[in-house]
Amino acid sequence: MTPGLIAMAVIFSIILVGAMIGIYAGFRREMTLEQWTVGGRGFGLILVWLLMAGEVYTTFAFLGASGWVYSRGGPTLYVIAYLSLAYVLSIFFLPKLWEVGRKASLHTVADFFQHRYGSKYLAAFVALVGMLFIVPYLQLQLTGLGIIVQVASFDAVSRTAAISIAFVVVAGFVLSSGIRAVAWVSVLKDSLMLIAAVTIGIGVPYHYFGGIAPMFRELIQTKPQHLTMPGSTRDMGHSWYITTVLLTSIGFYVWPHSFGSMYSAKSADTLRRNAVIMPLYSITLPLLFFVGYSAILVTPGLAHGDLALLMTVRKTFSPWFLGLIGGAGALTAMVPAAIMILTTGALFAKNFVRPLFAPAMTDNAVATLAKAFVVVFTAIAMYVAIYSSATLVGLLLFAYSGIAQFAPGVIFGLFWNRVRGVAVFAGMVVGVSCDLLLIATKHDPLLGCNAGFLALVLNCAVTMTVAMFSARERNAQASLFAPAAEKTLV
Amino acid sequence: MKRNAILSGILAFIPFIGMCFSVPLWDRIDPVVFGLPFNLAWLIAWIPLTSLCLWGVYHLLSKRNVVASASEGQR
Repeated sequence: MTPGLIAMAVIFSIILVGAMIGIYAGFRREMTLEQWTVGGRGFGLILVWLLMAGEVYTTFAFLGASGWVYSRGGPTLYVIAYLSLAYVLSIFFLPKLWEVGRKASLHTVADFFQHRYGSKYLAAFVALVGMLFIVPYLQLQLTGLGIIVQVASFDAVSRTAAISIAFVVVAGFVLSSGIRAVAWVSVLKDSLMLIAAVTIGIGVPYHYFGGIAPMFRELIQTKPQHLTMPGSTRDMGHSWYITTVLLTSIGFYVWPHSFGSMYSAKSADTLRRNAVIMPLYSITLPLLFFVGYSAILVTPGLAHGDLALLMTVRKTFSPWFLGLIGGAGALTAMVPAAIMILTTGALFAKNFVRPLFAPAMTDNAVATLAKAFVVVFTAIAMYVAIYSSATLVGLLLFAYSGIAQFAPGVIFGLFWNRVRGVAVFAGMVVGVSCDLLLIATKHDPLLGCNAGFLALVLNCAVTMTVAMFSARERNAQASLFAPAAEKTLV
Repeated sequence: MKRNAILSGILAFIPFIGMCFSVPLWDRIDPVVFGLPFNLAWLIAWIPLTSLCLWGVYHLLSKRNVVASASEGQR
């Protein structure tokens, strides 16, 4: 057997085991819309923790972060900061959002906007923007899977073929299961990921330098400027770091797919306790950074930084171990991709098609339409993945810059009764178009600040201004925690 | 109750100062800590510290809930 075959065999066995766990977990439950998207709202601390951890530690962390350490250096440190800080915010917002979600049986982020602001057009707009910006995130996962197959097959499988394989695997996985399956596959994924991170994070520096400290000693001597900000970039200094950390930690919990897993929690307290332990999960992240740093010295001159981790593993270990790492990586792409696709299906069918075009649709028909859309949507992401050359971190930052524009609508919605749909809509339109404009004209970063953050500031300013000037009358939707009798669902 | 809300706000802001706003102060290589450049070591240290702060926030928030439900019960 050639090394490529061995590695590929190991990867596909791991994917198969993952898929089987998933199918088994979802097998004996009737798949209503409620079960498929939010798991019947009955998940305890452990399952929610796994689910949320499963979304955070994606291919982005595995290949993207180490890839940016390799190609950009210092600025990548923002990843460690934002993952912890996002949970600081979540301990205040998520329990409140959960409370609202349970009382009004909400499934998606657009449901929240519909419920709070009482406008189906605003909700449909939120669904549309959510779908738009989930594409790059999903593209990231498919690209990552593609890289894994390509490197592990020793370049026998082409990039295009690899990404197509990834598409089939992910779409099949989602269609056959649902969110409960995803949570259980996370168990396998997280254990493998932990083993992978510890072995290569410590193993690679030991193999070449005799330890992590000697590795850094050599880097400090040869490339000291790479280790601090702006690293090997021109414009990612301290102001970029601060604005990016703020943007991404604010945007983190308004992700459409975060809403799904948040609503699957059993109680608000589960979410609070989850927030306390979540930062600890990212303690493994620096291990992946070590691999990226080692790769600078071990495998210099790679065309694409995102290849750094796997190429270094391939050079250092035997093929079956490459397969194990690749399999762990494949699951870290599949699990989040599955959650994103599930969410997008629900957004499209429930918040876009039904309210605007087919109000008479039953819940079961919505679920069927959502599943059909899964295939179309994943195919779109596959198409984009094949024809794009953006870095994994670049894709994530682009996605965040758009998604974070939901934050004013969510936060003001929870804590400021005065805000109405008009204000939120105006703010969001300005924020999203400003963000797209700046990025399309290559003005990111602008004046040393993250363009998405500037768009978010503008968004907040517009929302607040419109809210101040709009009529004072009390909105029926405004009091979220009103007794059920008072609540009018328009 | 009010005091707890303010305290938990302050406690939650500490990690933002530590990991985000103070970046010009710690973004350097020296002193090397356990073989790691200072900026990396600093951020790693703040991961458990963030959890610790959140643990404090959790207790303040749940204490507030207990007080709130107790006073409701008396009414």
